[in-house]
Amino acid sequence: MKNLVLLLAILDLAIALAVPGVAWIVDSQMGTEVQMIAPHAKEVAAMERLLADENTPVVSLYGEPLGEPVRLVLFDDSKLVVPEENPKLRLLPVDKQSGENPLQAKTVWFAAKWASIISAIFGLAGIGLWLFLRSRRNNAA
Amino acid sequence: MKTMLSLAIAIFAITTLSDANAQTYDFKVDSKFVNITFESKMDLEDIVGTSRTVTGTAKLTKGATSFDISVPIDSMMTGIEVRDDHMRNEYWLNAAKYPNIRFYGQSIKEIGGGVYEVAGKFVMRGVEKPLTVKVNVAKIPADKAGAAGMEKVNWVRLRASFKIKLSDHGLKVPEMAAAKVADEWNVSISIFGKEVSK
Repeated sequence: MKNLVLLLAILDLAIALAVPGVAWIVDSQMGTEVQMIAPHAKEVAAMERLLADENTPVVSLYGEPLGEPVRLVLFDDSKLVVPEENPKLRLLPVDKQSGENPLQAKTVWFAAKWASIISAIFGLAGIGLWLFLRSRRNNAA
Repeated sequence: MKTMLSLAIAIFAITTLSDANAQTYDFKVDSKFVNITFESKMDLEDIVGTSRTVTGTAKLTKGATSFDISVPIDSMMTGIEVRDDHMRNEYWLNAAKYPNIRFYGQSIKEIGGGVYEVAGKFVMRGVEKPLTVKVNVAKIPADKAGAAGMEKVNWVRLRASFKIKLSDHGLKVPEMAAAKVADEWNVSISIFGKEVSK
């Protein structure tokens, strides 16, 4: 029992330490800063080009921005659009009406933070319990 | 008799003139001509959603402007079905009781460069609040619409961005959702309407 408690406590502490590392790897290796857009239909895109002037944001030619640029992870990057008008932009058409909801890096970090905190609490509680069980056994002996 | 005839001619002339200036646009069009987005920015995540459905009309006749635009809550999607169901339930937008979000009024003033100041009432969850929005209005002649592959009639495109506070409409974000859902939402609309009368 005592050894099992110690094992679980160490496992929890290891998870607490590993989770932020995993989040960092996911973010840095699989994350991209993109501007999500609700894409225009073909006719609307053609009309937007006819209506555009020098003040028209490039994004508006392709769709309506879905918020501000955001860092996404684990998404299908073959869908990325690189506008010829501004090749620095990365536009990701997202069809919310079909249930698309790409994973945001900040959601990963938020989940990692809490998973780490909770694992650390369980780990430390486990160590405490293990010390308690050990001292009780030593006293009994 | 002569006076009556002159009066009749004058009334006919005024009516004809005002009809010639009348521009009423219908926004109940194919969903591909509607692109409405809404966004909440919070620490945990940015919630962004869209609607591709709008109904209503706008009358841009000089001296007699009006508009009445509605978006069905059921058409608003955030990409997660469970979240959409929550958004529609009685604690949030209560779609069963208040199926539409509506913006209506009569004040449309041109302030230059194709930009109009539109003032009216914004109605959400049955609570009306005054709202003034700057709207970019592009009137599109039939020829230009045809060139873009759209139906060859006169169109108008309205584009606007504004902010809405849930608390202004009697909706307090519960504590347990406070990290996820903002009180203030950014809304952007880009909608096309077809001219229905001349």
